[in-house]
Amino acid sequence: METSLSFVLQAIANGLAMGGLYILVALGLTLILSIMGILQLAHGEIYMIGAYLVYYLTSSLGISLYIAILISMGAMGLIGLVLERGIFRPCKGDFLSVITVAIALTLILRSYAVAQFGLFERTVPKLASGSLVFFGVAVPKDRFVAMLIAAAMSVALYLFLKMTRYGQAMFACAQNPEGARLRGINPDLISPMAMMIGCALAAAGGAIAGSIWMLTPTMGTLPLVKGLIIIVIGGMGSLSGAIVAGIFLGLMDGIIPVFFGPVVTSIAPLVIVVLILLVKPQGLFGHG
Amino acid sequence: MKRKSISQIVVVMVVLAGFLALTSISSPDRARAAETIKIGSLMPQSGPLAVPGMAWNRGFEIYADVLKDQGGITINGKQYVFEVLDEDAQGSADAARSAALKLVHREGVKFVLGGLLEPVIQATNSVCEKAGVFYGATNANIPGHPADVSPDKPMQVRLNINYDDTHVVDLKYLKEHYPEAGKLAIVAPDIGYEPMIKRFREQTAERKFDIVHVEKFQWGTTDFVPVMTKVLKSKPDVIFAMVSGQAQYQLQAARQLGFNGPFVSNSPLAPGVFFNVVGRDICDKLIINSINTVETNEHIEEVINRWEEKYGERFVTDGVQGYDALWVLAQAIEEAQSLDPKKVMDAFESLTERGDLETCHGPACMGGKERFGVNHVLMRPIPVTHVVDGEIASTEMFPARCE
Repeated sequence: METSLSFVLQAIANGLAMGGLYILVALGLTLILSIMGILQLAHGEIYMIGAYLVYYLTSSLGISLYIAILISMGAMGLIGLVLERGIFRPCKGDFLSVITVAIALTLILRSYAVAQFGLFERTVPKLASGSLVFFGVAVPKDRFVAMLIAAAMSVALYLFLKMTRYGQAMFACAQNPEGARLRGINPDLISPMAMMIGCALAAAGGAIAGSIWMLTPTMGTLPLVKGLIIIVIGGMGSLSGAIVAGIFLGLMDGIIPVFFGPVVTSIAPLVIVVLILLVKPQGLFGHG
Repeated sequence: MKRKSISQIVVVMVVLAGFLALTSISSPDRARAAETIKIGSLMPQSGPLAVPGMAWNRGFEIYADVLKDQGGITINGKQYVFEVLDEDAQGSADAARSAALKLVHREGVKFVLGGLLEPVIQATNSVCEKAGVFYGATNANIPGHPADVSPDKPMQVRLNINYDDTHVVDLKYLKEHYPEAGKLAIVAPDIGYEPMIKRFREQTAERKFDIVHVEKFQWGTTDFVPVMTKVLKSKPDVIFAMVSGQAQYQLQAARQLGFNGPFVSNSPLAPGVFFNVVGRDICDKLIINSINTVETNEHIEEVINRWEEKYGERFVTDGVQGYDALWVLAQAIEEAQSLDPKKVMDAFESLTERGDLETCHGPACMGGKERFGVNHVLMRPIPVTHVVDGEIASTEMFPARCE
């Protein structure tokens, strides 16, 4: 029984760490979706480029990992600003154009990464090494730190949205753009902010994932898929939904593989999405 | 969308693409010589096997450069050098078949090297055999698979050892260095390794080891913590990572979850890859079937130096296997004194004594008759590198199994 309990606790610990990373990606995606009304399919590539930037800063310039993550977040935030102004704003309201430019951006950024860094995997320094032991369960320190960073960023974002004027304006734009406009809030000022925050969060997620695993030009695909699943489960544009669904999906990815084989592991999230859509089509926290 | 907006998007995309193109790396020129033997290279250069595929391909290119610098091989008094024509096999049978057809019929290639996956090997051999072209398959992830060498494939040789040949060597090494370790757990990708696992079970049973767990992970897995959580539930003394290019991540996950026993990886991943990726602090009691790239012989050193000079990237050990493959083909062509693929096949079949062929790993031969019914497999020495406390403690070369 003791073995079984520690086995389950181990799986939960694995899942919580995964959930933290998913949340960082999903928060950015859902912020952009709710405020700008666009599905940023190149978000995974922002995550990937953010990670490679950290690789460059740490390996070539010798900058420490945590400073490099902050620089990467800032740089990707600025790139987000350029993308919003130069690419996404002109397409706003035209679904097909948004999808087309996002896919084009994905291909350009991925090809750039292949040409610049090659297909060979790269690594960035570890967030931490070794393990922590809680109640007989070993939790890798790097995942524990990743979980703390994700939690800190989620709380910071929540406080920003709740406590600041700009945050409230973002909320207003997300809930009712026309109403926000009538209250004197200019969505054209709020959209770049959402894009910058979204891209910065993606860069942080990419850098942390790169520190735990490895960097490849295709590393952004899986987080994008996970992010989209989280948005659907949590509810379109719901930040609290993204956090809950991120933890839920992380727990599933931590627990299911240790009890079932790879086939069940890969199809389970999709089955759950279908079930949730059948029962609550707007997602767990979405509005009708 | 307004015309101005469209122009704005196009301008931003073009500027972005232009900037990225300016800062990217251009591909190196392919060297050409007057008297050349065209070698078709059919390795995956995209998809999940792109890294080993490119490394093998680079190994071919480096050997071609070395041969050129040495003046080439002599056939009936005439000098020849190699020109490597590479095509992306993409890890798919259809892509490999199309690429093989192009190499054989458009480029007129008489010697093709490549593979890595069984469906690719089958597709390539079907094209080569029909056209009477020599085919050197680079790998056998699943020895004995219908794609592997057999008497009914007269134009196919395999220019690498069986990965399951490493099992006996590794078990012997384990017994000598960790005599108390009796319980083994196998970790393998779910790409049809069952015959190899079955053979390993027999080999371990003969040597009084118990297999307490077999964990097959999904191809493409990056997070091995859940995988190792399951493995460690069986409380193994040893973890055996079966032919995985991600063994370093498996080791990391196992160590993070508290496993302190010996960890065996029979892929050709070098110790340096483990050190660079997961750090020396967790590289302890690590047994790898890889060459020592730090203290090595002159051939391997030359491959590494040329790799770093030519590609400016970290060396990947599969490159040595690619180098060996083209080197032994050069030796067989010289032995045959002919560019006729059938005569080269005959020459290969005659080179069955240890030392008949030279490789970076040491003296080699062609073998495999006992197991596959035909001497169409390159038998070369098997390296075992032992890492203790983050340092390479030793590298032993187990001699090739020749007649």
